[in-house]
Amino acid sequence: MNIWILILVLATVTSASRTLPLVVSRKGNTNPRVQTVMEILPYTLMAALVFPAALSSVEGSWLASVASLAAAIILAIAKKPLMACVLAAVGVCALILLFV
Amino acid sequence: MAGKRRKNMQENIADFIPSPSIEKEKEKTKSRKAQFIQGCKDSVPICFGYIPAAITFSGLALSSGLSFWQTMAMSSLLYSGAGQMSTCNMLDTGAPAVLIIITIVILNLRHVVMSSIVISDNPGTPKRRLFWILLGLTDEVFGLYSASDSNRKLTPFWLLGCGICAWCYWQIGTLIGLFTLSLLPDLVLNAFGVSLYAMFAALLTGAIVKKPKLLLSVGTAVILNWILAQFIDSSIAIIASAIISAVGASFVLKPEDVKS
Repeated sequence: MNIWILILVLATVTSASRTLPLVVSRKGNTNPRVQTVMEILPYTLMAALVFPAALSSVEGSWLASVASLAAAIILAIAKKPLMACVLAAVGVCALILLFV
Repeated sequence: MAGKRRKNMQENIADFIPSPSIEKEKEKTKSRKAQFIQGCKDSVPICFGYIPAAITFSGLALSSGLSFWQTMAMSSLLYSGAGQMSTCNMLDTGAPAVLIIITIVILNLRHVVMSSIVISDNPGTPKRRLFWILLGLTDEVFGLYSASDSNRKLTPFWLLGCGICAWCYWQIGTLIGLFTLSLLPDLVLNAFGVSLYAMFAALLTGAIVKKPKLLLSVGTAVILNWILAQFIDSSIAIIASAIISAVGASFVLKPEDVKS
């Protein structure tokens, strides 16, 4: 039940962020400091979500955690599509869990 | 829906009075329909990215114990890959709801930027129509919209067609994932636990390669997060370090350094 409420709140929050500029302003915020923070914040949040939690993401196998992350990063440096990076990571992790 | 359309047509007919309006009206709706269909056709490449992404999301949702309907509700109502996957991940680690909501709000900041651009591109469009367009505005739809060459004018109806199709791909992908992945053994399903981290790591790597100055703020966030997590709850540490390092970086970096 709690999860349902959470999903509805998150859906509202997401829809609101998409449609908010309709209500607030037709020009967008032009303060350069605010713009910079808005551009950077999603990246710093992603970084903090990934490290260090990702290094122990797979219970009982640090090798699977680290190897899958490395696969994603290497493919991203090679400019492969995002989903190729993600699926390669999942694949590497599954193989290590199955065979190592 | 039908009533709405009739009302629209009445407004449009009113626009054309007193000229012989029926022919023009036909032409206008036809071209709107054509724009809509063009949007649907142009959206096809999106399905190659969306269907695997949505399948991955269902894998993560199954491995964190969400039910079929909860997963479908997330895909249809949240409709945001990063948002949905972070939610599953944080539910799995037992993060409090408030922190999940704050995380989603921050991840959604880029929507505000994209929506503002689409709104300023389409000044004459009624807000009611823009509302539905913006609800379907994802990174990929916006990417197609802004990447198309400037000779081809992309209209609100193109965006509507493209957005509706993209939403459908996302639902189809989630359904495929739920039906196929639930057959997998738990051990393999666990592997989907890395998908959010892999996605964020790949996104970050791509962004840093393009805009190397981001490395400073991203590195600060990681180190700060690691230090703070020794003293306070780890999900509070994540949000605090992200905000502190982004605000700190804004003193050093200019918008041009980080603009996507």
